[in-house]
Amino acid sequence: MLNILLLLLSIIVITTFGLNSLIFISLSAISTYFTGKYLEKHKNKPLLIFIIILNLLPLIFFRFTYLVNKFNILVPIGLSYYTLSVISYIVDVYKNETKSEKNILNYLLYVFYLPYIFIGPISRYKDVSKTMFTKKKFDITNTYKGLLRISWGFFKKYLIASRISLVISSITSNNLVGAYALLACILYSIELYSDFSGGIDMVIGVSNIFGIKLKENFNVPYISETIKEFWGRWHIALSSFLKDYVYIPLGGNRVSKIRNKINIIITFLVSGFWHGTTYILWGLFHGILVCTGNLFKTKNKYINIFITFILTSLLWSFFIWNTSFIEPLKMILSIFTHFNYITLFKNLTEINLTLFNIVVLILSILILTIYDLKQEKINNKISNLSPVLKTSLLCITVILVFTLGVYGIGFNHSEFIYSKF
Amino acid sequence: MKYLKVILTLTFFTIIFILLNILLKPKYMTDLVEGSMTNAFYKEDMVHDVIFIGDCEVYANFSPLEMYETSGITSYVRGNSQQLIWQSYYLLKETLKYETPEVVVFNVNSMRYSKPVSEAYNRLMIDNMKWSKEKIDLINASKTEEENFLSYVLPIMRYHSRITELTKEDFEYLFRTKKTTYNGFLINKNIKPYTSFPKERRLPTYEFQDIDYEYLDKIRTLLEEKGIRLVLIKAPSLYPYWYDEYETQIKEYASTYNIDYYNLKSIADSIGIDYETDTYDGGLHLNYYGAKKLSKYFGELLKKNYNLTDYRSDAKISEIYNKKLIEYKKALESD
Amino acid sequence: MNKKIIISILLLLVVSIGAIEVAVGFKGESNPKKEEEKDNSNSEYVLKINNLEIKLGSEFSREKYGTELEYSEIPSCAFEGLDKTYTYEYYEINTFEDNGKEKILSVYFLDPNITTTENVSLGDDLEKMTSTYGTNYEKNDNLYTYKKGKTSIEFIVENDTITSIEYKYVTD
Repeated sequence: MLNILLLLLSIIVITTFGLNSLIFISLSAISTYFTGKYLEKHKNKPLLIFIIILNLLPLIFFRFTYLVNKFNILVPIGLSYYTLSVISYIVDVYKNETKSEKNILNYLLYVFYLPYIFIGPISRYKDVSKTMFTKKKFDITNTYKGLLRISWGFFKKYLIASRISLVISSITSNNLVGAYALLACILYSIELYSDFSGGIDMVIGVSNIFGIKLKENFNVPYISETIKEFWGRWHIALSSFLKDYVYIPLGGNRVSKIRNKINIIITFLVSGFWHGTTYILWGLFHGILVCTGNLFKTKNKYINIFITFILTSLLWSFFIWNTSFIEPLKMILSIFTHFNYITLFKNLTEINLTLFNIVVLILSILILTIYDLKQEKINNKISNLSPVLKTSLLCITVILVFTLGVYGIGFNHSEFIYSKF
Repeated sequence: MKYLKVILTLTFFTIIFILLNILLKPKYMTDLVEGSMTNAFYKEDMVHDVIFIGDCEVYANFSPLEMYETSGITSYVRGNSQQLIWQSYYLLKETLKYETPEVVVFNVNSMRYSKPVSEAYNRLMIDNMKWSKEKIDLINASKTEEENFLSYVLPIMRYHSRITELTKEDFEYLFRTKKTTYNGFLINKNIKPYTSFPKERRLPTYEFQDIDYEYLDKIRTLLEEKGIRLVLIKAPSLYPYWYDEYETQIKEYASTYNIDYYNLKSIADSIGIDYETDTYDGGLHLNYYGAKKLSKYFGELLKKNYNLTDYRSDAKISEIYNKKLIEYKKALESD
Repeated sequence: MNKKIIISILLLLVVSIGAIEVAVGFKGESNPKKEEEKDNSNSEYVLKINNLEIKLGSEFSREKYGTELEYSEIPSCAFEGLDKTYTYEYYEINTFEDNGKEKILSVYFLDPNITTTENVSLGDDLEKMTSTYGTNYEKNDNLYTYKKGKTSIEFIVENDTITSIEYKYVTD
């Protein structure tokens, strides 16, 4: 019953983003539902490929902004996420890794499920089906867990990410370069992580309340010692999707060394393309860095972490100045040619880094870091707290978000970065 | 027992949250006192024969206490900065829940606006209004695209950035207010003579929009139902320009519905208003000296034309008003 | 083997379309950029009167625009901050405050002696306006607005005659 309500709610909300969103998602869902059923019994490869291409077409089409502008249609909401979800389902059914879903309502819920349609995580049918379609019971432990997780997501989003976005937008809108570009890249690393993982926290939190288990999407990415490790810890849903459905089918590492490197680069190009056409170069650079393997690795763990962090930060420039291919490169170059650090430190307030903002940022990033590094311990402690203390923790977080969060009139309110992909 | 504890915890934090909301909302007591006008009315302990509604052209130009002193009539100004016509309507509706005056005077200047102008003005007017159906309707009619309703329920959503700007005022007036206006009149004794205004511009249209007529009709019928006289005025002001086309339309409306309309702007000279001394901003609004002259003139006019009672001989009311007058005079001297 | 070929074809399709887009995208992105560097007038309206260039949104100074004939300030009720108007012989310049700097908000024509950069003046007819600026305007009552970037030109046309011309800057 609750499942049907969830489905209805999802459909209603999706429809508010335009009827075409609903039509595109429905077409995807229905086409894969029926072919899934058929493919389970009849292994028909051409049909599988046809249906994959059919579902990829909208994704490809809407990646080309000039085409979209030309035809003047709205991009369906959640396109990047549900497309990959349905493809993983149909491939898994074909490979007998999972059984096809018999109940169309269940399958629709899998595709339409509101919490993850906006920013993922990209879900696999074989993972979520275990908990998604069972009868829901109210469970106080799960509810507390979910609510705390949601409030933590809000904390990351509104105290950290939105605050940093104020700084970055004042840097980009004034075309500041050099030291400012470096600062923007470093801060953006933190912003994107807080924003994206904060959103995922909310999705996982809501799902917790309904007793639906989703996979984690991040595993403390910025303590990676190499770029390769980074991709095992960052946006795990996308990386593992690409690994399972692109990299391994291409031959993975069971081929010649050169072929393997090409496979890696192709995989990252696809990743770049999934984000949008202006991100292809970003994908290429990551691909190359993964291919170089341990080239930048030293014996010192902390130096490795630092180097990896700086490399990923510099490459986020493709996300910051995402309007063209050249701009990010220009900006990275300017870091090495414009030494305006003194101007930067003298004019911190001009880029919204007031003393108050700096203090709040440092404290909240500190909390984030401590939590991330000691996650298991802290989670254990929290789950053992009494209901009164859990409620208090929840209330304190909510009040902190309302009071110190950056949102509403007077601030540049921004949507989740990863909901636009 | 377990649940009781949780409920107590929740209550505790809710109280903290409410306190934070009160703390962060501007107090409008020493700075931007224009934000304290709507709620000042709730402290008023008596009824009035005349209610003024309109924008800054009423709260700066008409002083009820001057009118009492010279003609004995009782009145109150329910005006706010940039009060648009739908705002005037809902504020009037709220006022009529508290009292039924003989005459309502509406300043027609806001007929020229057909869209919410600015979020900041909405806040000044609405922040301190008591919750009622009128307030809900008022918010819905007034809010600009960027605003949301919830931020009026939870002011923290609008004002949380003030956390770094809190002053002594915010703590001093956390739970109390002080007198900022006198029967809705805001004293301003500054003098800034008229110099010049930009040239009169051509407008895309001179016709009042449907929405303005809609609310003017609403005001008219609301008052008709209650048997209250509606009087239209155009207050003296040199800018923004009051176009002839505007004047014609108002006159037409007034004659269609048999309403009295006084253009006080056109007779400002004969009232004795001198834009060299009687304005605090070069001619947009009158200062105290201008308001004194205008109030004397208009108070007498109201009393004569609408047979209003002279309360100066009424023991009970004159006692209250004499007290008010002493406070008012004191404020005038200290200003 | 078969599987690999098919997936390769698929990927090739995606990547090659991507590559095309890269190529097109490069062009698409770099063209307007170049134009912007060359000449701002393609993306924004700039008013030129004789030899004086009045750029909307740029800083106002008396040194550049001369001493006005008349100056007026219009305070808004309740809030600080003034709309300042400088009246010259043939036009008015209105300014706004931005980060402590006084910048040009709008230029309003007072006299048929001056024309827009594209040679339209007060008193011209509607046809002159549409033949110069096209028909891609927004119309509100008698007001015709042409937008370009953060700038616009507004004409008021009454009885087929242009009675008001104003260059405006959009502040955010």
